Amino acid sequence: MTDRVQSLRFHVQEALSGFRQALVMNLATLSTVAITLFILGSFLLFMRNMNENLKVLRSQLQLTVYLKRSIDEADRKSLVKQIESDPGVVSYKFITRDQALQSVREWMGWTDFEVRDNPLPESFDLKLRDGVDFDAFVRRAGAWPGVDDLSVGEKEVGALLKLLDLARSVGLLLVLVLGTASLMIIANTIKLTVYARRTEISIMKLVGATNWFIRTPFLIEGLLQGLTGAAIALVLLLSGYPILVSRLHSIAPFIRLVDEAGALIGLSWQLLAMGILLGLLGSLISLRRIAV
Amino acid sequence: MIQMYNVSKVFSNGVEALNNVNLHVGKGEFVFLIGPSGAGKTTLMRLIFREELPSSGHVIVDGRNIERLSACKVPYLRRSIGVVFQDFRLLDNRTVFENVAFALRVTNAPAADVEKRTRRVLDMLGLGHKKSFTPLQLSGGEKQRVCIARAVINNPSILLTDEPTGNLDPDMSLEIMDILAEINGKGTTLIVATHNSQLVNKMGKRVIGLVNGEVSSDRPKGVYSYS
Ligand SMILES: Nc1ncnc2c1ncn2[C@@H]1O[C@H](COP(=O)(O)OP(=O)(O)OP(=O)(O)O)[C@@H](O)[C@H]1O
Ligand SMILES: [Mg+2]
Repeated sequence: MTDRVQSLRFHVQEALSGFRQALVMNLATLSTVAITLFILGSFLLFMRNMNENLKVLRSQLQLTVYLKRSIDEADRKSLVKQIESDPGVVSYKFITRDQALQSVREWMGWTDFEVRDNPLPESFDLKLRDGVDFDAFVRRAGAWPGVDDLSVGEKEVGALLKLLDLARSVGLLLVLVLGTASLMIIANTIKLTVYARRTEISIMKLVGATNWFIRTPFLIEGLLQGLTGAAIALVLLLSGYPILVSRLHSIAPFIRLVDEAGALIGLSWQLLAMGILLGLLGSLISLRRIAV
Repeated sequence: MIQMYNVSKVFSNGVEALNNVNLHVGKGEFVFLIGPSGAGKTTLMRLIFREELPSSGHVIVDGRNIERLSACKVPYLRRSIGVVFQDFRLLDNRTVFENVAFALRVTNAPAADVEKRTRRVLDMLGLGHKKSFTPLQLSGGEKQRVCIARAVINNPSILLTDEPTGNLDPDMSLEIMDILAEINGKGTTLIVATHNSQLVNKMGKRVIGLVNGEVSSDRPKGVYSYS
């Protein structure tokens, strides 16, 4: 046990002296890792919030299908069959012309508004399945027999969904590019330390140190860089996010922002894990060539 | 202890450093390796602790065929071989004590042992009072002894010394040779590559001559002559 502790102390000392030997380079690497993880964290928070808001939108994802005035009983029946057999529809509700008028009245607040000739058509309110291809569904439903028009307002939801998919792809790409960049930068920094310590390494090999023993200080160096970078990113995020939440709440209260502790703790773990992964992978990349 | 069968070594630049070398060195033997500069003495030693692999032939050390040894076993082979290099290979930014203790620390020796064994070895080599000096503050003979201390601290069964008396005055050379003979007396197989004819003649040990990478002579109680 004491030997383990002694050995670990040796490795950590070597790692720290490696860090000090190329201080500026290591600080630059640290900043890169911190920035990458900060952006990753922001992205994760953004996506989390978007998904949260989207869930609300999705649950409201419905479409109104207006019927032709000339529709007869047979057409209406076959339309119901179409609706029932469509995989995109979860449920539907038939709205008579009187019900439509009634809801307009309520909505406008004109409870005693009298209309002689009700201009509103009959309609179906459709509740759509989560994740349905909105545009395709609209095209399909438009071709059903007896359908005159579809409510257009809901199209914006579809557009929003598309935009979010795009945001997700762009964000993932950004994180991937930045992640690769910091991986390379960590690998390069450690390569420099390896170079600075080549004499030590060659002597270690000659007196019979195992490869893993030789690699350990560099792995620790990478690990420290990853972890410290993640810690810096977390401090920035966790202190900045609540400010953003309160600001946004006063400007746009309809946007719901995740701010329960659980989500932030989850984020912390994710970032720390990413930091560890970046650090270890980065040093492993640069250590491939240390072999007997 | 050490066997070489038809060993040749051709470096990637085409230099043929060893050519069909056959050699047996028994356990506890004291062997001088002589030959002109560039004959392949250092190369032969580097094959023994597997710093290089033979281009053809077999090198067997303590029953282990070094070309077949898996990478993870190489460190353990090296722990049983002490090497004193022609160019010292000391760490200038560490003290004498740390240079010697290094060989123990990086092989996970028990913490309590490191201090004790390093001190003992340094005393044995008369370096006790220089233990907190750095190599840059030492004379050539002292550096040589630090190298020997580092090479023997793991109690190797084989000690390879490459030109251990280069640049030393005759008295110091003799002193170093006495130290090596003492280590050999405790059972360590010893190979000494040298150009020092006086020493070779004085010690009266087995002498193997190398010329152009070939064994030119091998005499049990030889003198300095490789023709
Ligand atoms: N790594 C290498 N790459 C290419 N050629 C090498 C290498 N090491 C040694 N040689 C060549 O191999 C030959 C033998 O070298 P070696 O160092 O074994 O000689 P030596 O007998 O130790 O000489 P000296 O007495 O000067 O130390 C030389 O011609 C040398 O140039
Ligand atoms: Mg040589």
